[in-house]
Amino acid sequence: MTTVNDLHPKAMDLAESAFLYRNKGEMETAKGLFLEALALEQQAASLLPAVGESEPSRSVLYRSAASLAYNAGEFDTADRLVAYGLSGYPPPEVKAELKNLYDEINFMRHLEAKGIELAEDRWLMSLSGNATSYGRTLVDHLMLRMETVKVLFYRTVERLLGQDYRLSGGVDRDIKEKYGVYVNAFHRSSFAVEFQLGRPEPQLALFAESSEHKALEPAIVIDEVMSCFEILEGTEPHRLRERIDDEDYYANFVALAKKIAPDGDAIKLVGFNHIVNGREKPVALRKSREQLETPIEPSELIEQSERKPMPPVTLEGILTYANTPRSKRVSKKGKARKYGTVKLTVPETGATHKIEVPIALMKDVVQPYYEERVTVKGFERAGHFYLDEVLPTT
Amino acid sequence: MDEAGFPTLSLDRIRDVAQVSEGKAKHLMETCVWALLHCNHKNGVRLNVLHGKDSEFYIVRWREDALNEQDVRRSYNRDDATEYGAEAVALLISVGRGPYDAIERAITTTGIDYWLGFKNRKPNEPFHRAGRLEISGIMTETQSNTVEGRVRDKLRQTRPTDHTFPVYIIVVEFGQPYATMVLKDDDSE
Repeated sequence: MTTVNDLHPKAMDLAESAFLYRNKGEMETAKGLFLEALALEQQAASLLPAVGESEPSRSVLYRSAASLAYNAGEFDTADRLVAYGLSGYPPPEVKAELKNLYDEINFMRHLEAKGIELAEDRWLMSLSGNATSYGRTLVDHLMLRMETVKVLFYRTVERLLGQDYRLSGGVDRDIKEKYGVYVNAFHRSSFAVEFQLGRPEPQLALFAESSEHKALEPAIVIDEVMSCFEILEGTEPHRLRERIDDEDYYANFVALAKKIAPDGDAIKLVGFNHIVNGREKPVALRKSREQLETPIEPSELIEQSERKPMPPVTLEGILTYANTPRSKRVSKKGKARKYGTVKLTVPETGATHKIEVPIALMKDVVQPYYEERVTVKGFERAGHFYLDEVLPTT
Repeated sequence: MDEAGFPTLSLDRIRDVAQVSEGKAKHLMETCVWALLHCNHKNGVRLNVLHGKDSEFYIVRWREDALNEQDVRRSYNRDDATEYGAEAVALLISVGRGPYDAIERAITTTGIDYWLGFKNRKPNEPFHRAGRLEISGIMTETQSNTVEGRVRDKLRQTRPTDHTFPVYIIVVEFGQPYATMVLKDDDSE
């Protein structure tokens, strides 16, 4: 009689091969192997009755089978397998994972560029949550993310061109002309916007050495941003520090990604889709702002007592003053950090707070909120407030 | 055991401890070799494993005829080597610690999910009394990217729900090299 232990290891061997082929870019082979693995894993899961004694094996096997279907792009099958898994007695962790998988499957459906011909210099951003419905979304949620996406792409172009982190001033005119960020169209799905990145003139690419800036293919810039999103969203977000080795660019990217990320029920998912090697490559941001990395670890912000806990602080008020820094501080570890300062006034009480802001967050993250009512989240140490995140007060 | 009496982690014998396919075992071995060579370590490098207050040295070896170092250097990148190389070390050191003697696999949307289990389990219950294995790798520790910080992150990630399985966290660093193993909610940590 065939048992789970006959079927499951074979399914896992096939799945391992599928991931290896997918990493090599052999998508068709990978999909075929995912489907073969799915058939075996589904059969293995079906051998277990929906009773408490079958757990956690039953729900883990259904979660695994549903993931295989998801990886094969068989979203209807994946949905069904999640439902089977939930119909038993899954332990809390597996239950939560099955529900997350269900959300992800649904979102991937929305991200499929149905009827939209995406070119390699374009990408789609899709929002989903209580603030969106089919073809509609609250303008604040959309505009905040569109503006942030634009800033993030210009910063990525500057980084890939090897430029020093820009502390002040606007984006170089030359970069804006060559790599302009455009909005092409809005699409009905959850709610989707199509962006496009400008392409430098072909002769600039041919004579890159002689031009002021070397030429970057838009597809490279787009894939870089999406790959960084993928790392942040994954289980190893710290790997982003290895990819973006300039600490200011790193902190800036994380801070901007936090602005784009889901913010709770209003926007539960933010998805992107772009084309790599002729194929769609969707990326879903599901982690909330709180779950994402901190742009700069609190222990890096202070000069002493790195290991002492720094209590989190939330302040609310009007941002009245922003000062771009001119000086550096050097921590005990020898690390130089630049800080700006902002002043926050609480109109109800007249109280003011001086808040220290890492330089990488100053221009793109904090200054746009000058004279607006904001909520500042951060840490306190020895009477100093250190900013982690700033958002308009809702 | 080597001449100094330290146990050996044989990268070419991953399949002895974990049910992985031949192709995956080779991939894990090669990426781990890539990471070790990248950090200027040689075959036979000593790896320290920290587990709570315990510390134990292992010798990491691979069969020279099982791979071509030049091919390995060309075939992978830093990201692959860090991620999969850490998996190789983690799989080899995790079995035999605690009550577990086998490694089970399941699939997630992004890759393989490893569980610590038992060889003599019932034929239809591969995850019965299993513990979860969370693996993370760092090529070279820096001030802002430390093993300690990575363990903290992993603990934070598994915090949201009350968990019913034991969760083992293994972080591997290739620069020194060393690995830390933490059992979540282990009071002895």
